Amino acid sequence: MLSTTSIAYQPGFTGLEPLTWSRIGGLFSQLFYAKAEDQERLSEPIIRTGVSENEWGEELSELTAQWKEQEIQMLLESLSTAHPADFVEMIKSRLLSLRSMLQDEEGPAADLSPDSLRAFLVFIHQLPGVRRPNMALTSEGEVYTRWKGDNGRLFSLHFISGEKVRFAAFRPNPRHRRLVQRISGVDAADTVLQTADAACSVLEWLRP
Amino acid sequence: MIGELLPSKDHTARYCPPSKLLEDGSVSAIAFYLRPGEPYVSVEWLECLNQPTRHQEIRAVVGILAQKLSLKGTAGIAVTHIRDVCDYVAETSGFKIRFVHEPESNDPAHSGIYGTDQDEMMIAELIAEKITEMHAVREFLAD
Repeated sequence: MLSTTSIAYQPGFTGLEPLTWSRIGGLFSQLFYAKAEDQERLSEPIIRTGVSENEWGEELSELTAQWKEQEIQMLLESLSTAHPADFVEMIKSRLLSLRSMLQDEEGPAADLSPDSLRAFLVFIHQLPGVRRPNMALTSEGEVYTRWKGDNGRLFSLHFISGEKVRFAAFRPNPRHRRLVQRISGVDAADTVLQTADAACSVLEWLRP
Repeated sequence: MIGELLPSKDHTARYCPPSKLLEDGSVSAIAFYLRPGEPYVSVEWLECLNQPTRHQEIRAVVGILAQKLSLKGTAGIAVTHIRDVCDYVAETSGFKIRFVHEPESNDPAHSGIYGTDQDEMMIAELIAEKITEMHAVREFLAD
């Protein structure tokens, strides 16, 4: 009935990238997470300078949570530079609403993933004037966005860690209108738009 | 029976929590993602419940799920037709997925969609396109 093409891209970053404040923040928070995980792996409390490893672990977890909260706020604030105010407010409001839903579903420790949010911001900064996407969150707090157009057009992205993005793009086959072309894969947050546009001309319909 | 393929003419329902629903009321593909460590996407086999109407099937599903999950009123229950989904995924992506009975002691209709991990994003989008009905959980929690 329908033809399909499914390709998987697995590119890494190809060049050295400048260390932005956001990137430094990301690296810092990764360091915190790694240290907190190390602490959790230690089963036996060890007395060192009068403070047990468990106490260190609790303090570190608390600091990690505080840092994560600050980082999420900082990332949400940085959304405001490239888009009209109403677009920014709608996106922020949706993300905060999703965050609240996620905490209700998964428990108070569940939260937006800063890595995912950062990748989403890298992507959305490239798209001024775009229609607002529909948004949802994975159970791990990763951002999912979807645009749907006419005749089976679809562009969806799942922002995972390390500035990577899973994506799917559908469009009617330009030469065979009853067929739909479909691609999916993994790409970098700053190049996925080019990839999807080259294969499925998403920029033709993402803007109102 | 454990491991048996569900009849292709039958239907399944999937609980979709509010954070997986989109602002336009539709279900996002991530509602059909595997959680870490899950071997299949959990669904409920509706015809297994032996209820006379779809409304009663969904009410039975909500009753079963309420014992296992903390259901949210703003969540949805997405219904799909097994053959439509399997055929659509196979024809459009080339991937074969299977609906398999995975009954549990407190959930005889429990089943799983196997094979979505072959290309999770693509397959989840295709399944989401084949949802035939959405039911608001709040209607059934009030029953």
